[in-house]
Amino acid sequence: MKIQSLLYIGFVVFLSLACEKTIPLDPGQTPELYVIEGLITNENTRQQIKVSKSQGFNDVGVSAGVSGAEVVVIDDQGLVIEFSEAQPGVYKSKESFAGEIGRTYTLTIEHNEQRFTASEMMNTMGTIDTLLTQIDPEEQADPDEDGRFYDILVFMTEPQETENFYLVKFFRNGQIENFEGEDVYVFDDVAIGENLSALPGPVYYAVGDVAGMELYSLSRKAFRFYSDLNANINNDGGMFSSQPANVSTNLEGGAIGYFQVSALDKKEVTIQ
Amino acid sequence: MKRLLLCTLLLGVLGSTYAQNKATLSGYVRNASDGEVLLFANVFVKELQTGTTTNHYGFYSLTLPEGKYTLSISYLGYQSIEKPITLAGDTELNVELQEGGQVLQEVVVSGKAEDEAVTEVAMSRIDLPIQQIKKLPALFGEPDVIKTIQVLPGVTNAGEGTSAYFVRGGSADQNLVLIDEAPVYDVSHLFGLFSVFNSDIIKSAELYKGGIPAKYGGRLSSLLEVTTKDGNNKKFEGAGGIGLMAARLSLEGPIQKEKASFIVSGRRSYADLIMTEIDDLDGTTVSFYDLNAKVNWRPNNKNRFFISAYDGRDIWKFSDDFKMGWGNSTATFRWNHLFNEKLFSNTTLVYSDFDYRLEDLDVADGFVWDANQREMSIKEDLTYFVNPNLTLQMGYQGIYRRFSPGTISPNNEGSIFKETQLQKLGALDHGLYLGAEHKVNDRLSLQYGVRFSIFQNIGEGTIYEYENRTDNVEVVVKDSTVYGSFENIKVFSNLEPRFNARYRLTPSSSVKFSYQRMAQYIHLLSNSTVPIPFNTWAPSSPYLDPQLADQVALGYFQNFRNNTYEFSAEAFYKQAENVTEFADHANVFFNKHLATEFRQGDSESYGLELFVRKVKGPLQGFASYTLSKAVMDVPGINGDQEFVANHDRRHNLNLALTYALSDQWDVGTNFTFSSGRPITLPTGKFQFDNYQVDYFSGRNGYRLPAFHRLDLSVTYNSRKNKDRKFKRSMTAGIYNVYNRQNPYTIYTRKKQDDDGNIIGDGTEKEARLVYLFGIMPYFSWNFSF
Repeated sequence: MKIQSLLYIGFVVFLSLACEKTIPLDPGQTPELYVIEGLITNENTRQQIKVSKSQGFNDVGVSAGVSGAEVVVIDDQGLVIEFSEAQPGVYKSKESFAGEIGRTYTLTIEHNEQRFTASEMMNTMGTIDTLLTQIDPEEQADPDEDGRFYDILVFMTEPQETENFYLVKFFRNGQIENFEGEDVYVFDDVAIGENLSALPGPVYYAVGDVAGMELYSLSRKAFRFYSDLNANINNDGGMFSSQPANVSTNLEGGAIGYFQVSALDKKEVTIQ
Repeated sequence: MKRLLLCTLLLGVLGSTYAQNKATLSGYVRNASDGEVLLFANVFVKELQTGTTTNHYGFYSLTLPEGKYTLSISYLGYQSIEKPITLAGDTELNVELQEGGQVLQEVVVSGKAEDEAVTEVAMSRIDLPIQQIKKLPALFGEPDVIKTIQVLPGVTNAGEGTSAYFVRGGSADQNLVLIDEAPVYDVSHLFGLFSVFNSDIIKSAELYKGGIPAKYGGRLSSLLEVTTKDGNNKKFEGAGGIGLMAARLSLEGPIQKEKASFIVSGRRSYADLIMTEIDDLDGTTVSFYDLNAKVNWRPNNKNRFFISAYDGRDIWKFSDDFKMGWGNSTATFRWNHLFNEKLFSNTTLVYSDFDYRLEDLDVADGFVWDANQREMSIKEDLTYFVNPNLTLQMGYQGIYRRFSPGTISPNNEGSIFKETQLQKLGALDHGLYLGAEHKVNDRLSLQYGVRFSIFQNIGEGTIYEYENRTDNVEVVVKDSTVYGSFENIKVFSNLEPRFNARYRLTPSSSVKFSYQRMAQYIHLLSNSTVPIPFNTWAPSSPYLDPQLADQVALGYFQNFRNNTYEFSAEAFYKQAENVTEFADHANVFFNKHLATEFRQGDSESYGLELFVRKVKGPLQGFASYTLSKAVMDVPGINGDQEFVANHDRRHNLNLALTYALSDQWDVGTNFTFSSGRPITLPTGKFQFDNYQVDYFSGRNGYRLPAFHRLDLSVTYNSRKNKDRKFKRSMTAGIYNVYNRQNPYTIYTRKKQDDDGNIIGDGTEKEARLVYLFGIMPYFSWNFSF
């Protein structure tokens, strides 16, 4: 949550007093685990599930996808959605379909006599009312990239009666922008009021860029997963950070990753 | 005939009653130059080969048969006195001792003060008079109680950047720190660089690692009791100094000569005044201050009153937008009362407050977050000096605790935050104790007692009943119960027996044994490896059981060369239950259902501590070595497997020496070596979305490289000091002389160059070693008048 990242900034400043150097690390053998990345949204499209394997610490390159797995999703009304392999390790639903809020979906994957399952319900959500743009004067004075000193202002409505959790993704010209896999934007609504007005986004744009924002509703378990992910990526291993631990999962059978089922709201605006 | 017999009988009876007439000799032992009472000074009766020590307030009481005696009063660092007295009826005898004579001349009469380690019953207790603390080389030239205890055997420090310390394998929240009997929750400034104790105001400090008397309770592992000076009640004097980072000043003097005195002292860092001038820092400043004040008044020989207060704070500001601050405030009122020469009473009222505050001044998401905990307590301690062989202590302590874990409020209208408050918690903490110091015979002395503690977790509050209390992901609340103000939510009680024995083998050697059971009812909720100021304390509750520890210790003590050297070897074993950890990735900020994140388990630690100290001569100091192990076993953590504790350090070696070259020059050196701390590092990784995620197998499976460091310092005392009232001295030193890059931590990241540009496709990872302080010179200028 916001407070955690602010405290993290505090300790980073403290650590800026510190010096560093690279050292070799030999962790020995790690078991290879199945990594499953699944996403079902309420957007009518061919939903996607990715299956791959974990790697050793010193391995290089993207992990190869796992081919030949049987992937199937069944909803709580018994509707069966079959998936076929579109590329190695990437499985898409044979037909387009849209998930529904309140519905529970169960994923089953079988490969090499191993079976993994997960169940998840699509949670309710708030809405992105509008996106406006503005110039950030401090960035304009000293931009990281030439011309990129506009940011978006988010106006959002958050339902106060339900317990909600959100994942946000920011895009620039169709590409996801999370500072090269450093930031995870996830929050709960405990301390949030009903109207979020003019909250600036973290990404800078230039004139002509298309700024996009995606808002996903998360279950409590998925919120837990993304919070763990954030802690995992940003853990500096220092004494003031929490003890490093593995990211949680909703997959059973020994796989890691997450089967996410979310409602989705998207908005775009072009910088002028 | 009968009449003669009757007369003889009567005379005989009268005669024997006269011979058994006992009288009590009592009084205070004080420093001759400033009237400060001396704690644990020795009062010894040569003819009877028995004696006692002054208590925490400098008071002693000896009940002896009437007669003529030679008293010997002594205290380390002071000139001993021999005083012939005639005891006929209760007598008050106050004694003043002159300081000094420690380097060259020794006026040793009975030498009893010097062999204190061998003779006293208390084991696992180390006394640190302020003169000893001031002699050790210190970072930034500031003598520091906390840094001093961290080099003692059995005490491990958490490393650079923090003042947290661990005693005999206990976690950092198991140490009770008291200043004038008020608890202090954060003992350092600037993340461990400075302690909150301004050494100009400290009289002495005692660290108990074991053998904690029944009078104390509330924490499992140790007690650090810091006593401040009362203030010179004869003449006005002051002291101060300026160092690289902070300046300090203290003033003391009589309000009414020899009856009332005061002492005030303050310290402030001035680095922030420089930092605001540096543009690059963008408005980031850090600062801290400490203020101490004390007044004492002795209206007559039977009463003494003290009022003392402390306030300290750390403030960090980042670029005008974000501010954080935390600190302790304490106030103590004490009344020493002598009911009679044998019954000493001390009544204490304490108020203590620890709070922290974060402020974000941003327009869109500005907020203020406050959290604090307060306690108010009343203590009554009675000491009854039955005879030189038996002293009884009994008393009661009651504490009212109030915890405010957090209130978040928006600090402007446009902020996205709404006012939210975490439930406040309350508790009543009671301790009732009875103990005895019992000299059985010439060789065997015992100290034993029992403490009965009761803890009430009280309302107002709402307690949720969970379907599965440890399920912190799908939190299912079955029911909730609402409690009214001061209504009992849950009550705990424990009997805590304490036992110490000392058996003297020869006049200069002894064997000691101790057993203690300690109960701790408040828990530091720390999600980090080492506590940070933003950790909150929580009371034991329906979902948090009190921590309990049993510790045994066995030791051998010997003095050499006429008490010049003290040697001890102590072995300990400690077992604790209900030690509190958090579940992996626990959500600790503003979690209404924080109870689902608690995980409690067992810890076990054992070790051997070797200690040598030289207390006389121009070369003084000590060396210590500890071999120890600490493991934990907490269901729900590390896959239910046992793991080494964060504070496990297999070897710990410390050397601290000072040498008086002459009247003007002193040199000092400090060497410390410690096995590396355990750390959790990834063994594998995987990709999720465009994130590279670490995979860990086993908590604390790695160890950082060993930590070692050498410091040197030199102090110059102005030659003019002998004749002047205004004395000056300068201290210069080097911290980390051979520039050892001591590892602070190791973290992993994507392989990148020094500018942050990713090397390769971003899938390769590297490990980075972080170290804090390399070689650092320091300088400080000190004065007194």
